[in-house]
Amino acid sequence: RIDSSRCFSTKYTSSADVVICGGGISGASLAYHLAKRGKKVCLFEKEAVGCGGATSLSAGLVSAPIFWQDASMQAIAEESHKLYAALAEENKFRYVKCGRAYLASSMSSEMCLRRMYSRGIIHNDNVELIDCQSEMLARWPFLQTEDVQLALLSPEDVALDPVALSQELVRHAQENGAQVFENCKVEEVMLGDEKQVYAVKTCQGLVETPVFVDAAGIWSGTVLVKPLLQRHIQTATHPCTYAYIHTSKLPTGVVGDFTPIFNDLEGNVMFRCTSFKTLCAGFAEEGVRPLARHTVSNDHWNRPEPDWDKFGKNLENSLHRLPMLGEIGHGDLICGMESYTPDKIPTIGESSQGTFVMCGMNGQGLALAGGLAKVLTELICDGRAETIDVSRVDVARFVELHANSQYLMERVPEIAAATYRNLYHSYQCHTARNLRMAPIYHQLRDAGAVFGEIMGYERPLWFEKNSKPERNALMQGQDTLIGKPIWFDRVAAEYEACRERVGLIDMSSFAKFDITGPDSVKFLQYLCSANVDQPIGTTVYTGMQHENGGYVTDCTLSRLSEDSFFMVAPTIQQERCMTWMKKWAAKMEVNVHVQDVTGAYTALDIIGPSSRYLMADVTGVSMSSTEFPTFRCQEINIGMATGIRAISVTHCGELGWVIYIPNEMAQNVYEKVVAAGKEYSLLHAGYYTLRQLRIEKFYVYWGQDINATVTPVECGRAFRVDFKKDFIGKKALETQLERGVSKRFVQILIDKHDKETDPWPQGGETLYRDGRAVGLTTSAAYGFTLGSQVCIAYVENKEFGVSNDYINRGTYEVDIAGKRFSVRVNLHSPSLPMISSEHPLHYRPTQ
Amino acid sequence: LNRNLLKECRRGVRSARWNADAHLRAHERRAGVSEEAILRVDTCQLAANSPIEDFYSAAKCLSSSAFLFGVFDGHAGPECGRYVSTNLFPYICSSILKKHEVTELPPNRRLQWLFSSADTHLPNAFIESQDEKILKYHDKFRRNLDLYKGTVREALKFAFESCDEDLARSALPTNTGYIDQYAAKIAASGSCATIAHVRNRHLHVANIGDAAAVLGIVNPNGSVVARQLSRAHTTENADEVHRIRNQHPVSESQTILKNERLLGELSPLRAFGDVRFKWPLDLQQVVLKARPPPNLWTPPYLTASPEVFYHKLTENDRFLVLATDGLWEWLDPDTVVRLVHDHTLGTMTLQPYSPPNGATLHEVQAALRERAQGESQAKKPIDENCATHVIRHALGGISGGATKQYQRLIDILQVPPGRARCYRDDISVMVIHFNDRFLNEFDDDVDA
Repeated sequence: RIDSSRCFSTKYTSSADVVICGGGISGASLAYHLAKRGKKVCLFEKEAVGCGGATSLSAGLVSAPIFWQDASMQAIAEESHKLYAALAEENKFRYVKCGRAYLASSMSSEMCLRRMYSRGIIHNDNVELIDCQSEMLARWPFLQTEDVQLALLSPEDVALDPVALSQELVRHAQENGAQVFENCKVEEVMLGDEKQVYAVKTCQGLVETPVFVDAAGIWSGTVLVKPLLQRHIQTATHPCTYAYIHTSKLPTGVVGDFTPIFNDLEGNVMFRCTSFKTLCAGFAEEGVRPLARHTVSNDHWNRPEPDWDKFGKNLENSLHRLPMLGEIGHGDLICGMESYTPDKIPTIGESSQGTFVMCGMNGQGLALAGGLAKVLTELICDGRAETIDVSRVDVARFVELHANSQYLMERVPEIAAATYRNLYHSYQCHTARNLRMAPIYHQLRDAGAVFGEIMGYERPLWFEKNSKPERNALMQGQDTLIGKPIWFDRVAAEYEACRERVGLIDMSSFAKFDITGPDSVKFLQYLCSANVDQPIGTTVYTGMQHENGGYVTDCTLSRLSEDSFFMVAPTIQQERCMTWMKKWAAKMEVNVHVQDVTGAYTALDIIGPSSRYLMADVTGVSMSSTEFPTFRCQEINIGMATGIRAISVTHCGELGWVIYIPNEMAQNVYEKVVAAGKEYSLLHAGYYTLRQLRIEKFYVYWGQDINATVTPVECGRAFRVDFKKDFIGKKALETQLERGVSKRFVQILIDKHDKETDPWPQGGETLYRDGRAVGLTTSAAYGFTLGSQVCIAYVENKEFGVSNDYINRGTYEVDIAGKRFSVRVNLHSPSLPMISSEHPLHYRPTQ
Repeated sequence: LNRNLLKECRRGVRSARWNADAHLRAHERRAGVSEEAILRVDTCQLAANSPIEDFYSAAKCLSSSAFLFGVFDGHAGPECGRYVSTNLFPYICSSILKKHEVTELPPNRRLQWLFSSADTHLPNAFIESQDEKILKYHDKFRRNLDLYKGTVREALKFAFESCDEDLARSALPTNTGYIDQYAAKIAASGSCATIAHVRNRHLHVANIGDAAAVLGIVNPNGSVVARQLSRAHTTENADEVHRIRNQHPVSESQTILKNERLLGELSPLRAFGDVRFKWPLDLQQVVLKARPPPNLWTPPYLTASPEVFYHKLTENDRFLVLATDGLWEWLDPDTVVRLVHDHTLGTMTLQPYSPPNGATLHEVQAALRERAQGESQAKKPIDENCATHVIRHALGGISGGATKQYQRLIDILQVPPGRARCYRDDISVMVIHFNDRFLNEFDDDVDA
């Protein structure tokens, strides 16, 4: 495929700023962006650029940004599209803006399309919704449209030549000084004394470099790194097959290059019909095969044998939608490989071992690589991406256990099958479950828990009534997008218990750290924006800011002694917090020891007005508001068990305690608490109850509402920042306070929403102010006390900023799956009426 | 004329296929048992030598109600393999442990044959002379209380060793200097043996030489696993090499294993018979006509003492495959287990479908539907016998569709036995299906 003029290999070099392993679309776009930033880049490809792995076998279809419901993924995809369109202007490769039609024939897919449409129109994409079957037929007479309820035409989707695109990217990179070596394999990454990369060994020799990027796609994680215990840097990606039929043109005159790509959501099949060929891809889960890592680690990639039997279901579904397909020859069944991650989102960034990765494209490599490469370039050059929230794509969202081959082999077929499906926040996989469980897992299961997974941890989402012991206790799939979810009534009861009596929530999955050492106060004072130098036994809610003021994480810090702290952070922060703290401990040269104790404690959140009496009963000591006020931490005994850390912060604004029980005593304590709780009608509650509680009180959560692009000023938490001391990001926050912000978090209450028949907010809905799109919702819940849907959202006004006045003056609407609802906007936590309870001290989380 | 020619061609193809099928199935055998842990046994055999040097037998020991299965891979002539295949089991039946005896029977009436590939070929007089040996052996076993009250492992070892001793002894000259030529032939040729001893849910596999026993396990999650219950005694087995080198002076280290063979000649490192590697030079010169192997300094170099593995059967254990090395040259244990498992399910999943030339996707869909239902003839395995199914796939390959498989099969089977030895070895396969209902229900905790 390569003529001599395209031969990229140049003279060998001995040092580089960045070495990229892999010349697929990822490596090529990364080389392009890095070279543009003036970095001295070396790209090594073991075969020819674009011709080796998944890029060469892909059909070259680029999904438009509206496919992704996540704002940062949309931005990334948009970046890719812009890049490819600009390159295509030179006409060096095939590039057709053919568009794509998504076809839905069930209510849930229809809602998916309506949601896609409502985010599409802000991108000004000329998106069309077609709900008339005869019109569909008039446009695409070769389709069988009888059972299609709704079609969405996204005009921005592109078909291009992926190999030529990669080569074009690399050519541009070379013009900017990048060096590209084909037929040259990376053999080993050499680490120095402090485990930092200093050189990369290739089959042509050694290259000195401080930065190594693994963009090897399906081969990622196979490069040798001798000083490591595993000898490889393995990230949570795994190769897996996908299949499509490549055959002749359909026997009709109406297909051409500009015929849109068709995606049948129900059948999970995709067609690309042009005037000279037809591609028909299918994503049925049973047709997907995970591949053992060692089979791809060989020098030669043997394409897996295509298996027609496994394609059978896909073929059925294809012929149902496109009957004409049956009349043409069988063509070739092509079996490709692609690398997938456990959550269908790519991984980029710096791994904990100090090398960079860019892999796990999940079958959307073309649509994402261009934008991801730009983000990774920012990460490499500046240490952080300015505008885009990278936490979703960051490699640090995984811990080591996610890189386990067996786990991935079980999980990735499900992910591969969902390539063209939108998975919402409530989606729960049905594969590779029960990886991490609290010691009281089985007791909770017997109590009726329905579990959902986060970071491999199973936590109860809600509790069923009169559950059967033989039931499957793992939640699978996602909440319905329209009407009440199945858990609504149960969560209503649990909510009521937490507000008026006492509820018990398992919070074991939260990331927990012990921070000790003589410099720990100095260290934490600099990392945290709140003043943590408080008396022993004080708990502080604080953010850790980066240099620009955004949240690296939020956490509660409890001072256990003069120089030791107990830190609790969101579950997904287990790896990232550790990396951040270690990085700064080294930078500041302080004597601090950070230990991840997530797996050592079981956490029970005891919530509600009666929790004070219940706690007094089980501990045998007074828990009155003077003895144990809120934001305190004490070590307590419950029954025979000792060493339990009780913190009077419930993470949802109610009165109560989270007790952190050493694992070996967890079952004992749990039983004790439940038995004592009978007196107060204690009810088990799940994570969903916590969510309704906290969103109703305008508690923002890291990872769902706020992230590294959000500062405390923007989310109404500036009152928790101590400007009298020095900390990371202080300057940026002061500037924001002075000049005002262009983004502000608000709580919105949706009026006139029929919870039985209207589409439910899921997060990611567009917020309109006076008819103009000004922001997105970030998380949603049903406010049982307020009696309406409640969302947390942000309002953005990049040009003129967002003042309180600006917010209060507008009239607001939110678009849920194409339906507009008028909303009320709150800047502060509302005060909720309660029948029988005492308000905890720091009641208003957002001021 | 053209049409006739076409017809003729088709007939030719079909008859070639029939021929191949018949050839494969000529020596297949099946025995339904349905007793305790054993459901049925499938065997099949394909000769490469002429006459075949592989043998197999299956029997039940009435006095302990244990089942015995064995495959025997002879070399340097069929005599030893044939002898061992019929005479080893009586030894084993005579070494029933005291605690395992269910009915008291004289040693010569304990054995109930299910089948054996060799029984009809043995001279009658020879069979009778065995009874005497067995009785003597039985006495010896009973008197040795360590053995009689010991373990199955030790008893099996003793039976193997005694059988080999007796075999060699009967080739010795009598007081009058008479040498039984038939016995000498048996002693001069050799045989590997892999036997399975199944009592209730206790499975013992005793093995010498390079045949192998593989257990097929179907996990509750549906995955099929092969667990090898024997180790080949060849130079690839580092423990064996170590054992043999240790038993002989260091001065021989250069000559003892040459070209991956014992004394440069024998491939298995344990075997019945083969007295050329066991007897001293002078004795060989009296009895044997064959030239002794080179560098025979410190005989014996060869032993018939088996390696015994124990496995307690669980409900996940579905079948046991005993096969001579002729099979393992072609297929690895995992594939064999997959083949057998798929065969028992009545499917042929290992044969990928490839659409015929010019087929439309409609036709492909119809064919795939048929295959998915598993009811069409094309989808069902061609052979009813599971062991034949394994041999067919060993020689015909497991990819490329039925046509290609037949092509390969016909090519291979065309070579007549004798000459075929250049391309392949004798193949014997025995598949023992376990009764999962029995293994599910009854769990006695009596020790092995």
